[in-house]
Amino acid sequence: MRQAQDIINIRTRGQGHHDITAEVRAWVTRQAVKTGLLTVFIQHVLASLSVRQNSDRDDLHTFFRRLEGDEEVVPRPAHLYATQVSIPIRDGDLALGTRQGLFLLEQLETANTRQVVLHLIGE
Amino acid sequence: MRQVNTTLSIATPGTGLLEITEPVRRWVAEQAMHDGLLTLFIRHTSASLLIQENADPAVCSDLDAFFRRLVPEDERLYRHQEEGPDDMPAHIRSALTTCQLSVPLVDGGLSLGTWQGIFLFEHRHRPHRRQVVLYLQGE
Repeated sequence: MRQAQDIINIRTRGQGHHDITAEVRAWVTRQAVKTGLLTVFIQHVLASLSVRQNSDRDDLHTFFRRLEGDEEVVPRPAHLYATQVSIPIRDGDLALGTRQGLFLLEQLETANTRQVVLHLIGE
Repeated sequence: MRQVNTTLSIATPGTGLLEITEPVRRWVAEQAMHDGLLTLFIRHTSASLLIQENADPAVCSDLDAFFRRLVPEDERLYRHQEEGPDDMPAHIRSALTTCQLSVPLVDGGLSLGTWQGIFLFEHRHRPHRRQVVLYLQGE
C-alpha cells in the first residue's frame, strides 16, 4: 500500500460551480493506483466541494440564493457544502456514477485561485 | 494494512429514508478486520447517504417532510425538469445531504452510536436501484 499527495490550483471565474473532475481524474490516473481511496480537501472557507450532476448547477445556485433571502447579503451557499470528500478508486479510476462530477463551488464574485489538496492511498 | 471494496445494490421503494446498516455491517464483519476505516460512497445525484436515528421511524418521516417543505416541487422554480417535478428537488436534496460517509471500525465493528443507523435517502418518487460503494481499509 502506498500514498501520493499533491495540491492542485484551480482558477475560478466568479461565483458558481466549476467542474474539476477532469483535472482530479488526470492526477489520479498518473498515480497508477488500481484500488484505493482518494480524499479531496479544499483549503478555503469561501469555496467548497460537491459531487453533483453537471446539468443541475444553475438551479442549485438559484435555490441557494433564494434560501439566503436578502440579495443584499452576500449569498453563502458554500457553507452548506463540504470542505472534504472521499471517493473510492476502482480499476484505476474514480468510482463516480455516470452522471456524477466533482465540483468546486466558488462563493466570491471575483475570479480566484483555489487550492485543493489531493491524497491518495492504495495499491 | 489491507484494503477491500464492494458495491451494494439497494432497491428503494421511492422517496424516503431506507436503513442500510445491516447489509453494511454484515459485509464489514465478513472482512474480519479489527481496526480500520469504512468509506461509503453513493454513485448517484438524486439519492444520498445519512447517519440518523434508527429507533423511532417518525424521525425519518419528519426528516423527509422537512425536506419536502424546504425544497418544494414547484416547476416555476426550476429550469431542469426533464424527468418530472421531483427531478430538480431530488438534486437539491442530494446537494444538502452527502454522497459519502466515513465510519471508523473499532474492535471489529462499526463505531456507530447506540441510536445511529446508516440510511440511504431516496429523493425520487419512483423505486430505484442504487449503488453504494463500500471501501474498507485496515487490519
